[in-house]
Amino acid sequence: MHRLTAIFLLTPSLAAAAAEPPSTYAEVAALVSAAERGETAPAEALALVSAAPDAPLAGAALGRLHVLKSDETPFILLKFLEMQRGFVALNVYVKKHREDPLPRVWRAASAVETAYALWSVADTREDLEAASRFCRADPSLPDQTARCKLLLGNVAKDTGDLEQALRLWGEAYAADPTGPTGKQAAKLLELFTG
Amino acid sequence: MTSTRPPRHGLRRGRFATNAPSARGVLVAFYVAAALTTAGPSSPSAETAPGDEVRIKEIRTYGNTKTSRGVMLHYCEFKAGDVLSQRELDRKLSRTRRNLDNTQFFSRVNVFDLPRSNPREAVIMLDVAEGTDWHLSASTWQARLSKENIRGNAVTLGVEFGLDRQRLFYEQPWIFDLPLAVGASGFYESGHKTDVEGDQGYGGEWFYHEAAGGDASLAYIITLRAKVGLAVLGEHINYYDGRFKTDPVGRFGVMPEAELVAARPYAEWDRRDNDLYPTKGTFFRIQGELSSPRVGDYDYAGFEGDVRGYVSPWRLFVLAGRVRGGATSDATPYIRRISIRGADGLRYAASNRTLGTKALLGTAEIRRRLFRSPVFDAWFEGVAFVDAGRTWDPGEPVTFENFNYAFGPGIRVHMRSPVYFDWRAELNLYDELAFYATARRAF
Repeated sequence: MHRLTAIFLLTPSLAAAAAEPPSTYAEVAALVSAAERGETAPAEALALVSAAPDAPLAGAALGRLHVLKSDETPFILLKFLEMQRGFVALNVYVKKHREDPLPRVWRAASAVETAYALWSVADTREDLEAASRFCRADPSLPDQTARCKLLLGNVAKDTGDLEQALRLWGEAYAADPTGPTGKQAAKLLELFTG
Repeated sequence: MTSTRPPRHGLRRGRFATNAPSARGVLVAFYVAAALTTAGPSSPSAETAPGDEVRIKEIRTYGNTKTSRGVMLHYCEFKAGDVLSQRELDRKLSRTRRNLDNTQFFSRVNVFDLPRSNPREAVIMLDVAEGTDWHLSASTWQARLSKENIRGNAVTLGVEFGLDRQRLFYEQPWIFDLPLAVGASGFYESGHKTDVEGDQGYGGEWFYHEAAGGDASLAYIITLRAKVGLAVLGEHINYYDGRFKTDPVGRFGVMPEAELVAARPYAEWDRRDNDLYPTKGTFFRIQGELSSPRVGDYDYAGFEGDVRGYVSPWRLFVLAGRVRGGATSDATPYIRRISIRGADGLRYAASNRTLGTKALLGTAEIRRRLFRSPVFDAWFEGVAFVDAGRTWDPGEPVTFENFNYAFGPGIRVHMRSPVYFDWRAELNLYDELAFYATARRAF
């Protein structure tokens, strides 16, 4: 099945309900997506992906899930170690699969969520710009344009450039007006406009 | 498997007017239009001429997953309903950002004047990312661990522990939402030896003492950068195994047992741009210490002053200067005299004239940020320092000669995550080498 189609067909809830180790790129992506939305606990998703270490995208998914799990980890040092483990896994995967946009988006999202403690603002921006570029160059790849715009907007806001952030969130909404990313962008636009 | 976890992607809280896609579309179109047609953050609206007044319609907060909104608003230099000129508003936005940053509760702070639908009404957004609430510091013999901003209410609880001193402390500003800060602590110092400085021909004297006590303080927050307060210190001291050539009670206040009660009024005015990494501004603090025989065994009075200044002449470089000085009455017990020893004082271990009843110490440093740690959220900083200072014994005339000096290079680490932690190592090259390594933040 085409990867892009698979992502849209397999909803996060279905992936979670299956509760079986994912075996395809789309299943791994859907499981991470479910964890990002809070529909699956990161620890559960992590256990499922760990059971299928040879699945495509598994390395990056483990990294992203470790970062998500760090949010719920008690004790500051354990939290940090979990976060660091996540970034190490993401970095290793991205080094091997440079032109896959999804791991780069995951790494950027992780950086935004962890206040750039382990991945700098400049590197985050570079990841998102590269991911957008790869998506434009190869339409068979999962389309991450809206999410890249949303995250680039978050990065702009975090660095104090609200004008740019609003513009990017507007573009994210335009790229995905009915999807979850567009809804997020709309919420941010509402909140950051007087 | 499903749960009711909040949505991710960094958006964790907010207030939203509508869920209907069509209504949202209209709203978004409006927001985008507003965003693209009005000026950017913290700058006057295109339709607001300089000098025009703006009313603060609303203050929003975002990203404060732990810190209460009430605590954040305490650090604002304005409140909803205030009418200000645009220039004044811009100044207060900048100060508010600095105030929030200096709480050290957050790893990132933005204060935005949001694009306006009505040019005369400002909506302010306090956008933050929660930081770590654990602070760790240590000197050679002591470590200090504190949890700050407990339950998001700016309460600090901490412990100091080491070979010769244990202390438990509590601090809280904005008691009952009033501009008052309280603090309390209890401590125990196990017995340790104090060598008396060998000035004026009295070398080879020492004594041991152990102490237990506590202090309580109440401060009035005049402004967010200035406060006055009063602390009361009470302790019971046991002295033992002393070796003195003459009169330990008269010369050093050493007796078998003693009660010390002292009132310590203080005033502080902090105009630095950042508490952790100051690059410009000044800091003033003056503190008195008064003890009366009516409530204890000692009768003395004294004061200490501390003035600091910072300037950044070039990017990444900071010139920092500090002058500390004080005077206390000749009857001050040895253990309460003014010390300029150690890594925060004169960095020359072999010197005497570093503990007395009068003191003066000047320090100048040039600091430069070198590089960021690849592992932790930490910066390495290089430093070159010069210290000059001395103390005077009771009855000794104050003459500006025989000063002690120290100078040399150093390296420092400032970590913000996973815990706030500072470490520094400095090497004195003047006369005998002296190496100082400590995990306390420099001034």
